[in-house]
Amino acid sequence: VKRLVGYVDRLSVVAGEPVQCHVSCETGASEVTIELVKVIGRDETRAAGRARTEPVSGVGPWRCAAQAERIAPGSFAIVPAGIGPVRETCTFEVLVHPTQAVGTEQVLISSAGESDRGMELLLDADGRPAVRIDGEIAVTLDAPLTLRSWYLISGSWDIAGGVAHISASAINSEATAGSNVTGDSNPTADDQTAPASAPAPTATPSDDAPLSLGARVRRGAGPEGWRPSAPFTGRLEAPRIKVDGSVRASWDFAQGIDSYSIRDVAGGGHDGTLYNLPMRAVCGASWDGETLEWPAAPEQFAAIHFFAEAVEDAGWPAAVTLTVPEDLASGVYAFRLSAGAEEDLVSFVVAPRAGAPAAPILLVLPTATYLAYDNARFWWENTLEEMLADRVMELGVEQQTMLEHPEFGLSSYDYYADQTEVTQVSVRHPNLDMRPGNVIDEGFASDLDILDWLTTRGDRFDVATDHDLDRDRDELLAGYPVVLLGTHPEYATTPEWDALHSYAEAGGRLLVLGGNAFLWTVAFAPGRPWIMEVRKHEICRSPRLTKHAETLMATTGVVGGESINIGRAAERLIGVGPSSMGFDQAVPYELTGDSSDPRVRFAFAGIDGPRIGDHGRLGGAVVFQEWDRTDPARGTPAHTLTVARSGKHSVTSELYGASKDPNHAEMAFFETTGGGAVFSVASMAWCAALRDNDYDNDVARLTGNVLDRFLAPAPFDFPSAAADEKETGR
Amino acid sequence: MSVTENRAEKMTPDVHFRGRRIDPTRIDLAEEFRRDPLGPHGPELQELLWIFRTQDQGGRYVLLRAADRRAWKVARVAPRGQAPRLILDQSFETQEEAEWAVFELRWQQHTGQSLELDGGAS
Repeated sequence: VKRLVGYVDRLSVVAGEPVQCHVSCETGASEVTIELVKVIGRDETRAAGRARTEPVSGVGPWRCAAQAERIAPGSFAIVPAGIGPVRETCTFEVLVHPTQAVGTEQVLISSAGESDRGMELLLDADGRPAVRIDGEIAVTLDAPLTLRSWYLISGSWDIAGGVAHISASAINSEATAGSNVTGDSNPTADDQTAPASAPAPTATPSDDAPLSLGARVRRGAGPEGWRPSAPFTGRLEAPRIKVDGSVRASWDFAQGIDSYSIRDVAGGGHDGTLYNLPMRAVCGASWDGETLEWPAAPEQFAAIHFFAEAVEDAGWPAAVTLTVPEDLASGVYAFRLSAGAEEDLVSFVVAPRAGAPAAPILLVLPTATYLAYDNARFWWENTLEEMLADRVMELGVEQQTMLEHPEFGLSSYDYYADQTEVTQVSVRHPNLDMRPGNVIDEGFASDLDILDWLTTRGDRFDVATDHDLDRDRDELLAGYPVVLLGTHPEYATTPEWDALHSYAEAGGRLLVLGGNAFLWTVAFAPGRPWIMEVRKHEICRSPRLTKHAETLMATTGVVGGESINIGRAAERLIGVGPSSMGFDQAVPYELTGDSSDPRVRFAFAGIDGPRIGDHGRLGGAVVFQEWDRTDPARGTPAHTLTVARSGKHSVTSELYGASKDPNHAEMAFFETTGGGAVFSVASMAWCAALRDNDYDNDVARLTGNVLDRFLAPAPFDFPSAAADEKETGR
Repeated sequence: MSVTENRAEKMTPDVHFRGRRIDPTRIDLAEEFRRDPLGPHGPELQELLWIFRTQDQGGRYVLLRAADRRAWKVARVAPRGQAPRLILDQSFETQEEAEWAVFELRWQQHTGQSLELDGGAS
């Protein structure tokens, strides 16, 4: 497994801005060397499939002491203002919906701070509500809470009397009716566990220690220097603190659902901040069972779901902070870490400034897809994957490292231990799938084929990411004759989709070099662009009964899931949309009659057919992994030419619902009214065939033909007559 | 990963094969697998593989690759946070050999008998 790992604080940076590299080293070496390299392709001379790099002169190298860093996962809220002076009594109250029995303490509200002199409301290792004072459990209820039910928990400390109390009453909630996964009858408001009382200390607590919700929090490595422990998994709502008979703090989670802030409505200034990916826009205890959209009734969505395994920001110290020099050309770069024989390559993009293209081509790397799949565990946790691959899953060094390090985080295909789907993913921790030698040869590893091919052709190109396109939009694309998309642009935000559509309509040329494109709509979190939110409710396997009311993203208030839900189907943008997947048998393309249409003749110079792409690193042919096809019902423009189609595929994807019938791939081309054009190769494995026979093959030729024509200034004619004929004739 | 409707049930294939047994007399299917472990497989062998693949009691079988990707080792996945358990000491030089080793282990687990094929099965 990897003993030397790093991460960057952002996947894209422009000249003049800083990018940080964070490193953990457990190799036994005393020092780590860090060099900046430019990533220009794949190095197939080594068995592992490394990146082809070139040195960057004048920047670095750097050295740092080798230090083993740790990650403390667990979502929490921190409230910097302390509890304030307490004379006689202190009470913590909160609505609780536990979802996981963990066998360790789960802190709900804490004022313990660094000194441990304070009070905590928690669930003990057996899931029983308890009050902990000055580091010792003072009082505990007899019975554990039933998972997936709502309770009002109240814990108090009578300092003057030296007594601690705890009570819990079940809330009869629509949201939880019948959702009891243990099969026990659901508790009602009449079911009351008898309150308990016990002796407690009489010394007053420290009044300025920060308050925390969802975990005990102290200073250390973590988001903004806060390190959680004893994290809770489940939902909290309406926490309150009463001191000496009056409300000192009261948080209304219905406010600021689209943010990571929590507001104190008691007027005492106890506002707080959430970290480590707690989930908002989820049903609370008062959900009426009918309301499906949180912006219509935020008070019914006044809960926050905390996860003990979630990690947003490892918070490791920065080994390097590089302010990108003005003369560093746009491209893919990496911090190459080395310690003894171990190495890690931590990649990021230097993007052009919006409005300042330095080349005719802009390659937009699908960092949203990289993030969605990063640290993916579903390859071995979901039986489906071995079925689809028709072979035993292979785990490389990256996957073996993830197995030993669950605290590196989960992908958006994974589930937390309480069976809630992961709806937020983050850049700021080791993301081991984004490595050139990954045995899961998708995403970043596959996009190296594009860099390789462009470098070999001698094209001048800039590189940007989903993050840049989401932020800079039309301004980023303006001035580039050609925009290339990567091998797997599966995830995109609404601003990205709209900018690409406007670009092509206004005369831009869009060449999509992959497949499974634009399936899901996502959003980067406002103020925290390193977090991406995704709600794939269509394939969500969580057993919770409220999930159909939790399909709207917290960051936008707009429904998540498939892009077509919001009128932005892939087919309308690029002519094709997701058709099917197959990781067992690859098949080639066959040219169709449309390929001889004069409108697209430029693409097929030197291409004989009828079969193309019967070769390639991935599976041995170009239609493999995931592929797309036209679908007029979903928006494929009527005048689209379907120039190639795959033949017979295996049945595995159909069997498991992972295909849309008919499940072949279709390569497509169409012109736009503004003189622009779109060409989609429609398969994730296409680019893995570019380098065969030293780049002298049908796949490289066809792709090069299209790129050359797209670079030529002559506008494309919008074939209105042909479009009419096609509409009426078929 | 692409899916176009809510097919969560279809996407959890385990339920379709729960409790299904394989026929220990169908040595011919084992021979078919041995000839071409990476497929495509005939329908009867495919069904047998589905039963195998959905019933890994004690952790899913996986193949571990070293950094140089030169060898395959047979292991079973442990719960999150634990290293995979190596099941066989030996490394295999090809994916086909490793696939066959897993097939033999699963056959033994399902039938209680080790596979003995003509032509010197390992």
